[in-house]
Amino acid sequence: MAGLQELGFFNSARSSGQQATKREAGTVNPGTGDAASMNRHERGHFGPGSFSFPGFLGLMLFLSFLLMASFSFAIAPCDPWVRFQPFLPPGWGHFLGTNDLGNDILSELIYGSKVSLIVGFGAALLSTFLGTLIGLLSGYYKGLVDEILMGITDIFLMIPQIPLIIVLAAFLKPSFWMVALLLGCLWWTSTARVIRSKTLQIREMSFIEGSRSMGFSDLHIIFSDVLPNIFYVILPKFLLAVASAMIAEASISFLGLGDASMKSWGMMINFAFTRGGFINGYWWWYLPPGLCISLSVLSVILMGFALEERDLETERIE
Amino acid sequence: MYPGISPEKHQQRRILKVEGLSVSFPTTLGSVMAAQDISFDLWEKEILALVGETGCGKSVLASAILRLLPGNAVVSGSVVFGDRDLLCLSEKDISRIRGSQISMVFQNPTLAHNPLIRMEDQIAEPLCVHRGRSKKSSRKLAEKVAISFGLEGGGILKMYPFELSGGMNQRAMISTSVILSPRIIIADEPTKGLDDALARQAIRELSSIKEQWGASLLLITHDLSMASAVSDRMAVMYCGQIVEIGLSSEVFENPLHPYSRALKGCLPENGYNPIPGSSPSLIQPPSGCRYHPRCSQMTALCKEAPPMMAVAKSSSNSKKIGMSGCSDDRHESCGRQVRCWRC
Repeated sequence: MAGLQELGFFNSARSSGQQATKREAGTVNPGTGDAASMNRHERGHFGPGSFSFPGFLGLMLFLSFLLMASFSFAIAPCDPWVRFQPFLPPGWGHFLGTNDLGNDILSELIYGSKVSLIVGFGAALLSTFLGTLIGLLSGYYKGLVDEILMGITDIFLMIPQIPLIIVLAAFLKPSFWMVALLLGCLWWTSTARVIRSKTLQIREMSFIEGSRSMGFSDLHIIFSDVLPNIFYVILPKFLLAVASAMIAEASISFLGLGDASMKSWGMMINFAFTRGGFINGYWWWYLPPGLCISLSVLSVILMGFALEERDLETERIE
Repeated sequence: MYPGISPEKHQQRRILKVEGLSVSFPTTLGSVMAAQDISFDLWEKEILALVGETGCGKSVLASAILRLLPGNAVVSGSVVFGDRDLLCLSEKDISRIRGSQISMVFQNPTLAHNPLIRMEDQIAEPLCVHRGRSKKSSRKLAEKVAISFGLEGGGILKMYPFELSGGMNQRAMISTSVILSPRIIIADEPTKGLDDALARQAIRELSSIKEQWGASLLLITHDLSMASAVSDRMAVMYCGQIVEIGLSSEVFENPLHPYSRALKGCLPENGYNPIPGSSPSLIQPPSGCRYHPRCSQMTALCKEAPPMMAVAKSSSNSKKIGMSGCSDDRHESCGRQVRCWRC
């Protein structure tokens, strides 16, 4: 191939591949503690514990929400379905007061984190999985496979999401599982695009040719050679999908299309809105869930940005 | 097989027969004839060097044998390995041959490794995939092979490719390519990107493969003196064609084709004489003998394409044979062939 390369036929593909390899070389395995990553520790760029400050903040925030969701039964002061005196302002008995039914708002808030996280992660997992798979296949095989898969991606990009969810909510029994499933099935498109372009770049690198010359099958190459090399693209993409799915869940619940029997932050704001919380100025009813939504999304986004930033940093160093 | 040949020669059998192999790439400017009508045989346990300047189609030829060319390449001719034509095999069958029967050593060893996989796993990977061995036992074997190529100590095998030097990566790649004991190893400019000392070492290791692993080696290089030092036979390529093929000692000592002669004249010990003119375009190669526009001994006849012609052996040459190569009057493939009207 060198002959043609010199003639300039494969030059562009190869040289971009080379740059990318260099970059990959810098982003290898943060967790292994090998010489290279230690070196980077010293330079203060990254490593699992040395996120930039916003990234660290995001991680802490996120961990606290995770804790809240997984041990809500232990943390919550009362059962969120038990009724006390309604419309109590924040005070010693109920730190954040009670709502129109007399439910303790702090407990509701803590239980509500579960739905947000499940929907966020469920949808993001599904969409990242689909997007990665489709992106890898279309980027690796190119040609007809690429045309078909990217055509499907274009079709999915055209589907208006919220209206579709509204229509489906009208016909199906609304539940947060369905919301997660739906969002996951709709949101893989951008991931697929990004993964495809990265795969197109990596498949032209010489170690892929090397693997082919060793007689490895296409699937083996895709999953053990290409996939590890695009993992650093997938992770931030995944976190950003988590954040958007959380917001989408909240907005769907706020619109009243969610599962009314489940406690979720969006549902709380919905009830506060429809049952006079806003008009009467019961700020302890609608403000905390709103803040929680913002903070949890912020935490995930901060982590995602920190990961993306990390890649850019290493790119600059190289 | 060949009655009357000494036992050592008797074992030598043809394992790869390339016949009339042509590769072209359609482009918007026209078709690039990267290789045209290439024919040669590769014998068991021999090192065949393919020499030529950059851009003459050497690497394309190597990739064509293993069918690693991009999808737009147009390949014709035949590559017979065993009793099968590699160019006609299904993708599944050819991938069984890749690595386990014919493997490849690439130029630029650092880039030819996956940057995110530890060295030992990369060396062991073919064993897991082709032989279905467990990860643990393949790692053990990989370690043994790597040690035989001088990769040991300091946890080298636990490192990633970018932590190793070019020479180490090259040795790791050679280990990977021999681990399944293939019958043919194609080394595509194995010394490119290595400094002189490392290049020598890499070549030593490659030529040891022949003895240790019993494989034949197709060595692709532009280094004429290196090729003549390690190879049994040598083929000189110019502009997509083989212009001269024969025993390395003969070709190097007494090149017949004007291009081989000019190539030899480029060597530092022969006075760095550059070849006049520049490499021809592969899209519109010169008609007739492709070397004629640059040839100092051009005649009117050179405007017509010369065929590959067998050279009658002169008595002075025959004394130099009998090293490790096959003696050339026994079978015709070892005979010297030149693509020039004057010879």
